[in-house]
Amino acid sequence: MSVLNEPTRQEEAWRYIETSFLSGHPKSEAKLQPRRDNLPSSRPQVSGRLVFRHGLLDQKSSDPKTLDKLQYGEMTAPEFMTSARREDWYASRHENSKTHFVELPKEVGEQPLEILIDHQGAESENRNSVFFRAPRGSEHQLLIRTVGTNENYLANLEWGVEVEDGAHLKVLFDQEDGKEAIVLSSMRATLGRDANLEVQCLSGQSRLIRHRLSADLMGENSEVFLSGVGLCDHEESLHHFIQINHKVPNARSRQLFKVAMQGEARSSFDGTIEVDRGADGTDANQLCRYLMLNDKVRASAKPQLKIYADDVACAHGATIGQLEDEERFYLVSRGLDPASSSALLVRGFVTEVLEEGPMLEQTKAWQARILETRLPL
Amino acid sequence: MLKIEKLQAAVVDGDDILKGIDLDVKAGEVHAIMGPNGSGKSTTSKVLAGHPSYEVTGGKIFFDGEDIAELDPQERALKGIFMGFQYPTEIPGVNNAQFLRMAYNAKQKFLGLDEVDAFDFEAILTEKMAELSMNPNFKERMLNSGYSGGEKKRNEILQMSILEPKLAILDETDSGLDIDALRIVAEGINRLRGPEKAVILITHYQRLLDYVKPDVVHVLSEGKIIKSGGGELALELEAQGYDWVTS
Repeated sequence: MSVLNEPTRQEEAWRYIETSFLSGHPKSEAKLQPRRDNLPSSRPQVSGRLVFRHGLLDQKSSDPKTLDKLQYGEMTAPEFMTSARREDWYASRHENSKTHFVELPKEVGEQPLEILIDHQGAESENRNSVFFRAPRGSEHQLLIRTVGTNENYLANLEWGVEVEDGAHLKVLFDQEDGKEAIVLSSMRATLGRDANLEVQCLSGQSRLIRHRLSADLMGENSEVFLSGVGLCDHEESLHHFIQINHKVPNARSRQLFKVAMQGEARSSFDGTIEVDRGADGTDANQLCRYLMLNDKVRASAKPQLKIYADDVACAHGATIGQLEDEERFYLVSRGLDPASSSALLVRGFVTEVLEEGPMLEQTKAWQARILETRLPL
Repeated sequence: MLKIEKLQAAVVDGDDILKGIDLDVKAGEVHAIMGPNGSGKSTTSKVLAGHPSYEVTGGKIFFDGEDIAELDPQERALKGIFMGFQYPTEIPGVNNAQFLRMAYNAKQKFLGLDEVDAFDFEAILTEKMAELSMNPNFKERMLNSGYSGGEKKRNEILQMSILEPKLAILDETDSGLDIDALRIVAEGINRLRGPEKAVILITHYQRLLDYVKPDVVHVLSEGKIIKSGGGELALELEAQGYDWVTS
């Protein structure tokens, strides 16, 4: 295994990321912090919750009935999940950590299971590695919430998802960490035949957020939909790094990412669709859109296709633009003031993603926390 | 209500498109503006609504005695001017009902009246939509996004019905409508008519005027009104074409 170094902006994957934010963080083992007594309460309409802190399943804070129903424990991370560790220095730091597995029941879950990942500790690295398996034919929803104190911690989260043949899994990742936090999340997913996975990442107001989402379509007729949305302000920095691998014929993938930016925010999108030789009948679509609300923000979009099969339909697009004058005129011509008109349009820009995502009802907390606070009508 | 004197207007930094329009629309009247393609009909509506891409280069626009040429579009709307768009803008992600309630409440606030909550507005919206035979699912649809041409025009009339403007300027509202939709839209326009209201219909064709009888018909050509008359003028234009008046 080659030796990885702390990333710098010379590396393509980190080119647009303020690695200087990261350099002050400790490289030592994470210290176990005492349990917080002000943990956010569970969301309404969830089936129960599990709480993870500093690489451990916090059974005392988790819902006992949920623990009874699930199979869980510690394991060596599966091979597909660890590949990022060979490419990414932060992911490699999980090499000596425990991975927790959660086996979802072999049935249909009517309500989402809440996974709360709690971060804390000034200048502390919070490492968590969790593996979820949706067994054959099951249907489940996961609401993953990353929460934390207002301290300047680093959250280093690795999560794996295995969606077995015929299983359907929907995941909403609501990033609720504090403003001083740096949040690095890396998901790797693998899908079997007829499996379906939807993942939507809602980004909050931490100063640096990086979502790495990677999915391998390993079974025919499998389908993955990855989406993400953010409304960045101040000097926040939000980055999406996406990799979809079509390994077999007749699988479908879709990506939809939208970020609106104000203040002096920074954002980048780096998304790749790779279609292996023989993966004919692939249908892949990728769209990334940035809305820049002033001339101080900066965005970069890099959609990429690597196609080694003949019979595929792949579409990709990226736009970086501003509010449309005609749209603004339409709204003010009905008596709305210019500020409300702009706010409504920006809300509309991001709401489109939420409505296409897996759990619209559960996005309301994010809408209230971010959208409605930053874009009052 | 609306008095336009020698109005000249251009696309910003461009040549004049309107080259001296005079128009006097009194409360209670319906005026039709007809004319060939490129005559300045849509420009007239946009200039009256305050579209930022156009600038008034000469003349005056009085609305209820106030010169509105320098007012921004929002102020004009709140004072009671409504423009029905020829091509209503599609705005994905913006909920139709939410937008309509915001527009309704903006007007209520401007008039010093109580704003309405979502429940009260639902009742208002339901009634107005029923009048226009609109599918209730329009409430939850995104503003003009994915609508057919006819649905967009019907949505414009819905907005007009809810905002109850003093002056409605309807730019080719009849285009893209089938016969049934044309009748329903016309009924919506006729419901707005009243002694305190005025309507300007911009149209290419006589057929809308079969349903909404105009008091005055104007022919616009090359940025000027070249002929005005009663409803019979529209019939003559339909029969003889614009060459009859422009040549």
